[in-house]
Amino acid sequence: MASRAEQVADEADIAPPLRPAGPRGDGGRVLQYVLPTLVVLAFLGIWQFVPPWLGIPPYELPNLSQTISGLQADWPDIGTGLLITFQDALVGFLIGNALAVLGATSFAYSVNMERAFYPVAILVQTVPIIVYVPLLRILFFKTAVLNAAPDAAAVVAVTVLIAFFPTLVNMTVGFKSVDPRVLELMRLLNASRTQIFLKVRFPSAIPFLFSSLKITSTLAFVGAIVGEWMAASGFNPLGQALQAVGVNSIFGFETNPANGAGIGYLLSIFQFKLDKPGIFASVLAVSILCMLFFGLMVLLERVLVPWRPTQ
Amino acid sequence: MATVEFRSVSLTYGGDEPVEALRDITFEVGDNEFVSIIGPSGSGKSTLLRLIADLLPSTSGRILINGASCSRARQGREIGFVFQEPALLPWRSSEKNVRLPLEIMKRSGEGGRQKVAELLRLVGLEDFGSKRPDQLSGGMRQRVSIARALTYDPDLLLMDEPFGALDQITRDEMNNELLRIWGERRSTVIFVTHSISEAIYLSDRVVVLSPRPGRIVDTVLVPLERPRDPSMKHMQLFYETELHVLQALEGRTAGGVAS
Repeated sequence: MASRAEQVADEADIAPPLRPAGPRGDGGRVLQYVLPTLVVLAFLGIWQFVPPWLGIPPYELPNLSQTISGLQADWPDIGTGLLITFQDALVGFLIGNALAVLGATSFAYSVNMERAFYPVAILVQTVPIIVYVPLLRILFFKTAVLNAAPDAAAVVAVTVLIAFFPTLVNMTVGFKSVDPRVLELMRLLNASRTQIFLKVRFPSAIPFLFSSLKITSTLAFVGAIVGEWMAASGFNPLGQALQAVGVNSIFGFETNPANGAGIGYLLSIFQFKLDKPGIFASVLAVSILCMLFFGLMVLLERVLVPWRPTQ
Repeated sequence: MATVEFRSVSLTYGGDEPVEALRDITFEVGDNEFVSIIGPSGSGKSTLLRLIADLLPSTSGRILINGASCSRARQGREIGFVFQEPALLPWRSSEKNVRLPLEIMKRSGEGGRQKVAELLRLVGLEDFGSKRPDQLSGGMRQRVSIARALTYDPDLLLMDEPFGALDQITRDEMNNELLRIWGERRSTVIFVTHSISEAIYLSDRVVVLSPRPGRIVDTVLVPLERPRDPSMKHMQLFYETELHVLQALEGRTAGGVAS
C-alpha cells in the first residue's frame, strides 16, 4: 500500500499514458495474445493437476474443478457477496473520483486552494487509507447514510477516500500538463478562465484521468474487500431496490439477505468455518470481477482517448 | 493594416540573477511589410515577439501597434501568432483546431464554418479537415497552425521560427507556401528565424540582432523583387545580401547600410 504514491507518480511521469507502439508484423501481433493466454492456461493446468497428484485433499487446497464446485455450492452467498462488494467498490469509486476531479478543478481555479490542500493530499496519500476503517466506524456510529448501517457507510467511505487521493493528485498534474504555447495563444485570444479550462485544461487532463481510473478501479476493490472484512458489513442498495420491486432473485440468489455483507466479510466467515473451497471460490470470483472492471476502464480509455501526443 | 513602432525598448528578466535580454531596441515596421528578425540563440528574438504580442511586459520603452499600446491590439485581436512547434490540441481535428479561435470569440456559427473551410483550402489541407494532428506530417501540422492564426484576420502576424523544426526540403516548400498565402491575404508580418537565406528569401527587410543582450546591429534591405521565386536564391544579389547579413551577425558591419 505504501507504494501507491509512487505508482501514481510513475503513471503521471509517462503520461499521457496512451497505447504503446504496436507490435511489428503479424507474427508479433499473434504472439502478443497467444503467449499470455498460454501463461494463464499453464497456471490453471498446474492448479488443476498438481494438488491431486501430490495427494493434497480438497479441504487443504482445492484444485480448479473443486473450486468451481465450491462456487456452485456457495453461489447464493458468494453471488450476494459479489453484488455487495461491487456496489461498495463502485459507489466509492464514482464518488471518490468525482470529488477528486472537483477538488483538482478548484486547484486549477485557485492557487490558494492548491497551496492549502495539495500538500495535505500528498501527505495523506502516504498513509494506507484502509487503517481509517475503525475510525470511520466510530465517526458514522448512529449516523444513518442512505439506509445503510454505520458499518456499511464506513466501508463506502473508505473506498471513497481510497479512490479520491490518487485522482486528486493525478488530475492536479493533468490540469497543468498544458502546452505553454497553447496558453499563450489563449491569452492572445483573450480567452476567459473558464474557456481555457473547458477547451484546453480539461481535455489535456483526460489521459491522466484514465491512468488514475485504472489505478483506482483496483484500489476501490481493495478498499471494499478489506473494509468489509474489518467492518463485517456492506452496502446493498441495489439488492434492497430489487426486493422492493419484487425481483430479488434474478441473479439466482436472494439479493437482500438480512445480514448482507460483501466478499470481505464472507471470506472471514469461510476462514472461521475452515471452508477452503469457499475461500478459493470467493477469491476466484472477486478476482474475475476486478479484472472485468479494470478491463472496462481500459476499454473506455481506448474509445474516449484515441489521440496520441504529437510534440 | 498594421504598423509597429519600437521606441527604445529594453527588457531585463528579474529574479536572483537578472538577465538583460533586450537593450534599447528602436525600429519601425510599415503597413503590410514583411520583416525578419535574425540573431544567434539567446539574442532575444522570441522575447521580442512576445513583447509585441503583449505576452510579456517590457522593462522600459514603448511598443506601439497602429499608434496604440500592444495590450489594446491584443484585446482587439489584431495579432496572430505562429509558434515554432505547431502547438495544436491533439484531440481536435485540423478543422476544429483552426476553429478554436472562433469558438473562443463565440463566432463559430455558419460564417465561421465557411471561414475555416476557406482557410484549410488556403493552406492546401482541404482534404485533411477531419484528421487529427497525430495523423498529419510535421509540415501539415504547421499549415494547420498557420490557418489557425489567420482565422480572425489579424492585421499583424508574428511568426516565431515557424519552420525551424522542419527538414530543409519541407522548409523550402513551406517558405513558398507562406509567400503564396501572404500574397493572397496581405498583412504585416514579423518573422523570427535563425536561417539567413530564409530571412532574405521571405522578407522586405532583415533586422539583425547581436548576442545577449539583444541590440539591433544592422537592418538590411532586401533588394529582390516580388513575387519571389526559388531561382532568386542563385542570384548574385542574393549572395551579396546573404554576405551582408552574415557580416552583421559576425559583428563586422562597417557602420551598417541604412534601410
